[in-house]
Amino acid sequence: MVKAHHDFIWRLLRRLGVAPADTDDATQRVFMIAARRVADIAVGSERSFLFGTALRVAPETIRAARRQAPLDDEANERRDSSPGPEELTAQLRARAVLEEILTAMPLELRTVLVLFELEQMTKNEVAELLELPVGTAVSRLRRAREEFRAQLKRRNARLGRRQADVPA
Amino acid sequence: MSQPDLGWDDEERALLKSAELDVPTSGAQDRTLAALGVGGAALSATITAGSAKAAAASAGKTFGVGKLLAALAIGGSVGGAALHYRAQFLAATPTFTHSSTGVTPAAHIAPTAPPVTELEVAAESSDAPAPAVPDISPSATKVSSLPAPAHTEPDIALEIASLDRARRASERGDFGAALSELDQYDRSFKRGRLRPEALLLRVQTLISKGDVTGAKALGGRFLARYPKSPLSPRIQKLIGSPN
Repeated sequence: MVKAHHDFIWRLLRRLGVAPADTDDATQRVFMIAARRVADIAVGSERSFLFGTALRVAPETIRAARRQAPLDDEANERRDSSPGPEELTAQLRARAVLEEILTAMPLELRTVLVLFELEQMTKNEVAELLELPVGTAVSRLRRAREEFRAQLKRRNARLGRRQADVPA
Repeated sequence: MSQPDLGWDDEERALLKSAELDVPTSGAQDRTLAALGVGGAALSATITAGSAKAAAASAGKTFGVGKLLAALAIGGSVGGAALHYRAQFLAATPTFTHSSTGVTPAAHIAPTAPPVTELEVAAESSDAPAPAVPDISPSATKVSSLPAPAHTEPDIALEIASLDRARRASERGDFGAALSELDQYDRSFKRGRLRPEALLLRVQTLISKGDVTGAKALGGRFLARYPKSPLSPRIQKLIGSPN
């Protein structure tokens, strides 16, 4: 089970907003919970169980990290709203922006976007994993895309205003 | 990274593509296995007894062997993939048995140690003392009275092959062949490391065959003796009330 699903759960937790430094621990926690509940997991539903567990573990981990390191968090927020360090590659900067946008999205929309766009799951697979009718999953995906675009526009507008405020 | 037909513009596509950077850190999977009690090094074919002991000492205290094996077999205790995966661990790892100080690789105590039996493994969480081997399998003989040949990696491969044959026979509805194969397994692997799976498969096969009485008797005996075994809930689900 670990071999089959570890990387999926790791990426999922990361994309649900768990900090890179906490993602290994959060992943371990998901599998520890699964190990304790092994008798309750129906054969063939391991991924679904792990997914559901990760959805609970992710916000708990994020909250715990915020409680433990409020100053670091504030520093991160300041850093995220600023242009990225020069040494960052374009892709790293893009990843930071993606994180910012995903974090601003409601969890249910973020989750469906992550599964479909980043995990490359089909609509049927997403619906199955979320235990939703396909139509509902599709509708949620549409709203997730709209929200993603709206967040990006708001961010760009914010940065545009900030840059306009800087004297030439 | 995004799927085609979505109408993302370049900026959006670049943002989504940046998620390709999300790759687990090196060794993350092994660390997760270690947290579960396996120890990342246990998956390496080059494991040494010393490193196995260290892995067991660091991980075995929080996760008993039975729980570990149940976790490894989580995808279906007799599924081929689970067996294969579990065997990767088993084949590369010395036999663990409980000691008063934790978990000790049996390789260090093999000359005098009692054999690790299915119920020692399966009933890790039981409060009962380390059991003598009860004859709960129809064709099994008393394991503890038998000579104790050393396990080798081919043993594991043969065990897997035997249980795979039994599972496939059961899946195609040839329950007689499945039970015969399980009988053969019991005879060939009296100290087999996959005996919990063999037992569970036997119970499943008996139920599929319609021999609910036999399944309940077999499962019930297991449950009565080792109610806290990690395998017990699965057997309980299979047989319902043992009475």
